[in-house]
Amino acid sequence: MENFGEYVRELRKQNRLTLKEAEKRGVASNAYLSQLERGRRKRPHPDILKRMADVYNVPLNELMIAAGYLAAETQKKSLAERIEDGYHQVENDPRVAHGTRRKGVKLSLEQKRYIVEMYENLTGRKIL
Amino acid sequence: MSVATQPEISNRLKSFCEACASRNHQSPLSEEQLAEAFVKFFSIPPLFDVSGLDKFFATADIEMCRTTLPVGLLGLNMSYEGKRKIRLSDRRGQKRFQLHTALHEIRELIENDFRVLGFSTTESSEDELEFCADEFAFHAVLCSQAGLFRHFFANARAIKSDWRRWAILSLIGLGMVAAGLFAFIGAFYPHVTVTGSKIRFER
Repeated sequence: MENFGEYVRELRKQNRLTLKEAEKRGVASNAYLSQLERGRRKRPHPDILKRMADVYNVPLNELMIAAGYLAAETQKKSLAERIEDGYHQVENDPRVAHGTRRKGVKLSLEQKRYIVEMYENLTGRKIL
Repeated sequence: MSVATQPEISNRLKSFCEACASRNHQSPLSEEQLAEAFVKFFSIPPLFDVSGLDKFFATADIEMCRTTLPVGLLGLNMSYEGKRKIRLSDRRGQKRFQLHTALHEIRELIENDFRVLGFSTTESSEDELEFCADEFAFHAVLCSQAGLFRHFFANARAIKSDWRRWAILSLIGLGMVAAGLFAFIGAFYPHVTVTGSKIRFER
């Protein structure tokens, strides 16, 4: 991503947050975010990106790629891999509990996809 | 079933779980006792289909929806920061088990709240909770209908004519058997696989 600052500013605006609101929600200080958005700061630490992902409702992976921590190739994962990753994320989110009633022992890919989509719908976070 | 620590649980379901936890913290509840307490606490009417739970879903603030789920999935529940959702399969062949699936999902939501309160009634293994939830569904259906049958019996006993009384009692008996079968088959349906002429029960 050539201009990471512009990208995060766009994300913040999409979420209708001011710099102060983003600060209040724990992303980083208002001054830091302002500098970052104007390109006066180097890429943020992954911890900040994680908080940003939560508040700006964007997959962490996407932010990591945009900030240059991950290679863009990871984005080219197949749908099946993304579903598996997404399902893993749902399973490991301590704020979410889920259960199913199903025939068969293992969840199929389609069933996992449905769970991930329900998670996205409930939490407002985009995974797939 | 993933184990979660949710920051907040609200509404009547929380009150129910707290009541169960405070009254029974020394001896674990059986699924039958839990189902009985559930039916009583929420004044659940005699259950014959999932619409009997509509009032419960409203008071417990659970968003329930019947929809087309992926093949093999009868239902699922998810909770996040006090929001709870249940989805039930509308597919042919699974629709008639919606009541039991709804009760199964409710039992899993109850377990989530129990865990938040530190009153888990099942081991952490997914299989055990699955089976407990089916057992809960079975008992909840029977418990909800018990009052109705008691009422029928009381009325039948008051009939003076012998043959009429016996005829009515026999009909009630048949009704009870049918209700029992409905509860049993519905609750354990996912564990039964019919392949050709063979029926296999798997836990």
